[in-house]
Amino acid sequence: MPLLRGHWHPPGSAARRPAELQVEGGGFLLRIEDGESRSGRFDTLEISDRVGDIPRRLELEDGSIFETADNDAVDAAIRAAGHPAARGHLVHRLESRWRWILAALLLAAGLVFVTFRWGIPWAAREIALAMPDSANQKISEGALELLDKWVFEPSTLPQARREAIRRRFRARLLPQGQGRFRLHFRDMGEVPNAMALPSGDIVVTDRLVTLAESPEEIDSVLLHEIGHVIHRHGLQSVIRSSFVGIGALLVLGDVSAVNSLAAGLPLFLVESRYSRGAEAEADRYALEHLMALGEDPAVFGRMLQRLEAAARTDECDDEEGARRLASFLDSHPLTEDRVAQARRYSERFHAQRQ
Amino acid sequence: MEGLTVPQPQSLSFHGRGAEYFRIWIVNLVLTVLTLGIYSAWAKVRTKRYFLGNTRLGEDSFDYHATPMMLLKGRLIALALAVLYLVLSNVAPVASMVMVGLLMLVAPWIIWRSHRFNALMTSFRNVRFDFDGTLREAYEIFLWLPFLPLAVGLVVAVVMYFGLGADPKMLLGPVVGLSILFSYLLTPHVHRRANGYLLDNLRFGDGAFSAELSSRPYYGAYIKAFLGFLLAGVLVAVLVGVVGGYQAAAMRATGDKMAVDPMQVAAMVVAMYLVFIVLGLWFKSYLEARLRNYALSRTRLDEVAELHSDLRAGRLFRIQLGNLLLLLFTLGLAWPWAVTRLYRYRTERLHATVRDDLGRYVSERQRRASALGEEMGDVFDVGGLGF
Repeated sequence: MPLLRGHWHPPGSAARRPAELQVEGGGFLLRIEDGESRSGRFDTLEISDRVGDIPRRLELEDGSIFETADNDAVDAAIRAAGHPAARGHLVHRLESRWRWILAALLLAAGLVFVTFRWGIPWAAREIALAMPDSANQKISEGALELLDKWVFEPSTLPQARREAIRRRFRARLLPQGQGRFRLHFRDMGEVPNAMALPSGDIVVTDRLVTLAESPEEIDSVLLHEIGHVIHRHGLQSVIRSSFVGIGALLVLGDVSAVNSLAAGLPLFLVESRYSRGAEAEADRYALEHLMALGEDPAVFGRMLQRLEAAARTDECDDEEGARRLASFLDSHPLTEDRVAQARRYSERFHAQRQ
Repeated sequence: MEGLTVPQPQSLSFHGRGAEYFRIWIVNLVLTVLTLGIYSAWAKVRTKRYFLGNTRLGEDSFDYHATPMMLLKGRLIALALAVLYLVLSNVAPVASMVMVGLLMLVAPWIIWRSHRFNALMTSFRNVRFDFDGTLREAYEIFLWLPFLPLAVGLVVAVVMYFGLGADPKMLLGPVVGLSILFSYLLTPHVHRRANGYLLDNLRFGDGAFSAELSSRPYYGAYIKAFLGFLLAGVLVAVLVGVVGGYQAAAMRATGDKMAVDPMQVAAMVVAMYLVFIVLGLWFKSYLEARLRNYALSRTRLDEVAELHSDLRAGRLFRIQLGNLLLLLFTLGLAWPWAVTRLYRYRTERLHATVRDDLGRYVSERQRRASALGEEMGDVFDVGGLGF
C-alpha cells in the first residue's frame, strides 16, 4: 500500500514536521519525525477535495493536519478504502478529461442557444399576452409627453388632411373590440417616421404623410403599427430584456459584467435579432389585413422603398455586402427582404382575385 | 529558512498552469449554466483553492476553507437581489435607482464583512488569517469621505438658496462641479485609507500585520498618472486635429464633397476609442504598480516578517494589454491563461523576509463568519479600492 510523504502540523499551529503516512487495510499509521506517531481508521480522516495539483489536507480527529503533495497516491488510497471523499472526486475526473469537457461545453452552448433563440421569445410572448391591459398601458405612461417635449413639434399638416386619414383609420383599419387606439400627427422635420406606443397611441410624422402617394400607402404603415400594439411587442420586449439580463447574470456571475462592454455587444445583437422578429410579425399583420381589406399588399412594399429612398438621400450608397453585414446590428429587417415579402403577398392577392 | 544567517527576502511563487486552470474554469462555467447558477458556489471554492493552493512561500502553500454551502445562502440572496435589480431597471427605472442608492448605503458593510470572511477562510501553514477592522471605520472610508464634498456642497446650496435667495439654476452648476472636483481631489487619500484599512487590520493567527501608510505617495502616483494620461490625450487630440484639418483642406482644394469617406471617419472614431482604452490600461497599471509596491513594502507581520513588492508598471501594462488582445481574439476562451499570467506576475513580485520562525504562530479561536457580505460584494462588484 502507498506510503505518502509530506508534513504534519499540530492542531491550529504553523509549526511543521516532516511526516509519512502509511495506509494499510482500512487503517493508517502516521509517523512524525522525532519518533511521535498517530494511527486510526482511514475513514476517520477528513480529506480535502482534489483541485488541480494543489497540496492535499488530511485532517486527523485530534485536529492536527497531515499535508502532502502526492495527490495520485491519496486518490488511490481513497479509492481502495472506499473513503467518503471519493464523491468529491467526480468533479476532478470531469476536469481531467478533455473529451468530457468538450461534450459538456457543447451541451451548455446548445442549451444557452436554445434558451435565447426560442425559450426567451416564447416565454415573453406568453407572459405579455397573459398580462392585463393595464400592464400594457403602464409601460408607456408619460412616453408621448416626453417625446413631445424633446423630439416632436406640433403637426403643420392641414386640418382636412389629418381628418381624412383619421376617418380611414377609424372606419377601415381598427380591429374590432381590441384595445384603445389613438392616432397622433407630429412634425419631426425631414424625418418620415411612424411609431406605436404599447398604450395604443400611434404617431405619424408629417413627412411620412407627404411622402405617401396614396391613402393606401398610409394605411399600410398604420396597419404595421397596429400590428405592434396587437402583438404587444413593447411589453414583450420589456419582459425579454429582463430575461436576457437574468440569463446573462447566471452565465457571467455579476451585475457589472452584464453591463460591461464585452457582454454589451452580444446582448445588443440578441436584442436586435428579437426586434427584427417583432418587425417581421408586424409586417405580416399589415400585409394580411391589407388583403382582407381588398387592397393590394404591394402598396406596403412601395411605401417601404419610398421611406428607404428618403432616408438614404443624404448617405452614400453602401455595397450590398456591407449592408448584409450591418443588418445583424439593425433593429429592422433589410428593406429588400421586406419588399420581396410584400411582393409575394401581392402575387397571392392577385391569384385569389382571378 | 531559519537560523543565525542574515535573512534573505524570498519570493512567493505560483505553480498554477493556464491549461490546467482552463479545464477547471470550463467545467465551472458549464456546470453553473446547467444548474442555473447554483453550482457557482462550488465553482468559486474550486477557483479560490486552485489559486491559493498553488501560491507558495518556500515549501508552504495557502489554502481556502469556505465550503460551498457557506457561500450558497449568501449567494442566492445576492442573486435574488440582482435579478430584482435587473427586472426593475427594465420595468421601473426609478425603483432600480433607489436600489442603487441603498446599495451604496450598505457598501461599507459589504466591504467590512467581505474582508473578514476572506481573511478567516484563508490559511497559510495551517494557520487562519483574520481581519479586525471596525464597521465604523469602513463607513468613514467608503461612505463619509467620498461623499463629504457632495454633502458640503448640498448644505452650501441650501443655505444660499434659502438664506440668500440665490437663483437655483445659477447655483447648480458651480456647486455640483466643485463637489465633484473635491471628491476627485480626495480620491488618493481615500485609496490610502482603504489600503491601510485592509493591511493594518489583517491578522495571521495570533500575530498582527501592520502597515504605516501616508497619503503623500498616493497623491504623487495619482498626479503623475493623471498628467501622463492628460499629455497622451492632448497628443492624440492634436494628431486627430492635424489629420482632420489636412482632409478638410484636401476637400476644399478638390471641391469634392465625397473626399470625406464615412468609413474613414468611422475608422478614426474606433481608433480613438482603442487609444483611450490603452491609455486607461496604462493609467491603471501605473497606479497599481506604484501603490501596491508602496503599501505592501511597508507591511510587516509583528517583528517576524516583512513584505516587499517590486512590480514594474511597464511589465504590468504589457501583460494586461497582451491579455486584452488575447481575450479579444479568442472570444474570451483564453481567460484562464490571461488570469494565471497576471496572477503569477503579481505573486512572484511579492517577497517576504522572514526573520524568525513562522512556526510559532497558532490560530486564534475560530470565529463564526457569514458569507452574505462577501457574496453581495461578488455579485454587485463592490470591493472597495484594492491594489
